[in-house]
Amino acid sequence: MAGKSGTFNVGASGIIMMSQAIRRAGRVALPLPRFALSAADSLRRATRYTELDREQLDYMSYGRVMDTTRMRNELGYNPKWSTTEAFDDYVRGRGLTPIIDPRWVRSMESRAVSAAQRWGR
Amino acid sequence: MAGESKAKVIPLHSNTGRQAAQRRAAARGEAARRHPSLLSDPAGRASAEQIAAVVREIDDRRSAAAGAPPVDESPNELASRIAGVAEFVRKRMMGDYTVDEFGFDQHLNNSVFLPLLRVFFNSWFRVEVSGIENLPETGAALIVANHAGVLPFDGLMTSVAVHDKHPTHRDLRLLAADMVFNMPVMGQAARKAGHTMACTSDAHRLLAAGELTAVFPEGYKGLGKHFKDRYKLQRFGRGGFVSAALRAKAPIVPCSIVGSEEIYPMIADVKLLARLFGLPYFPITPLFPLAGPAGLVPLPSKWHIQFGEAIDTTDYDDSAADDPMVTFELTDQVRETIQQTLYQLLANRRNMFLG
Repeated sequence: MAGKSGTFNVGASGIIMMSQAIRRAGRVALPLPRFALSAADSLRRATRYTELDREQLDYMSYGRVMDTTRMRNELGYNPKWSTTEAFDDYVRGRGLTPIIDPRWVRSMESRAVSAAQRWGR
Repeated sequence: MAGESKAKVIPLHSNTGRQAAQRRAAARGEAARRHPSLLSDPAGRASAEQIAAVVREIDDRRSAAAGAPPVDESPNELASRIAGVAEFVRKRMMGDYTVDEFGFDQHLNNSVFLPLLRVFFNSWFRVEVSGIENLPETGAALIVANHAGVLPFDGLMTSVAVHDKHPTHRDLRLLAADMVFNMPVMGQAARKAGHTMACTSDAHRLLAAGELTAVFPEGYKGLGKHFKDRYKLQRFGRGGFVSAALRAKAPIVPCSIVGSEEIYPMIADVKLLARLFGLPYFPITPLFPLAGPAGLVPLPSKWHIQFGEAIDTTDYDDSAADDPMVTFELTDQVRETIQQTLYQLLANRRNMFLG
């Protein structure tokens, strides 16, 4: 199998911020200082339910953006889905119950508009 | 969720629960059918049409509320305003916006930052803009401007000028000092407004992506100069901005800003305090430390922003970007153009506050 050799950043196009990801999943953000995050992580470790690596805390704190130009041009590989679509699919696939329900948000929006419509005349 | 596509319709008589339940059930069925991972995929890859269909469906679902205009009645002004705010809040709450690789959040910028700056732009500084036709409709360009006024209001006003006056309402990406991004709240806000650090790699990336990029080669020397030196251009760095433009073959647009010097007339610079606070300068203005918070209000000078004729860089060959002779020459040319335009604008100005 003849292929390209070397190191390539592989990632989908598009950026999704931590805050945005939380909102897209319908969850509520809880900002924590770094030491509190490590403490919470230790607690989880103690209860032997670990999904989070120590190194992954860095990803959570600082985020990552990769330059995928070489992947596209040299490797000739293009991911089928964008970051956002992949994330949305993950949320749907996990069946996460949103705390902030999009339907509720939409209904509140239309309610506010109709209230303004009635009140404004 | 197709039911939500009628979210903007203003229901006069609330619809019955049965109807809503039916619609929801239909929506659920549809959603399950079209779930991306359940796509029929015989060749191992989704065809372009399938991808397009799914993407369109996702888009439809996302912008469901925005699409449908009210059928039965036209919204009154209050309702359309509330609708605008509600739509903004909904999009923020659901994370329904895109952020680019530099952290530029166009949705937030257009709905929050620019309207705030527009108040300054229209009512406070009453900015007059000329030469906007010198900016390209599409593609990259490097705007080089003079820098003054203690706080970088000039950059922000230029970004409003470009967004509001340009026929295609382009976003201006500023290359700002590192200090801005080290500040706690400011840094995040600047990132979200589309600005990034003034370094070669970021400049190259922005220009290569075809963005309108603005740079202030004077830096702190321009911002923190004394009032008596107003409108005297300071040294223009090492011409790094020219090599960035040459490398990307982007035109250079000289931009002259008049009015920025008078917003905080700096009569002294306390070096000791500046070092204490880790600032490049500590300004003393007639109002600043003495009048307390009132000293932070910029004086309402009348502004003019003029974009000069673009300097084409496509004729230079690839080695020109590293040739100090070429970069020095172009730097000088740009600097001279800005300085001459500044003098012209100043000559036409009768009063610094009335124009």
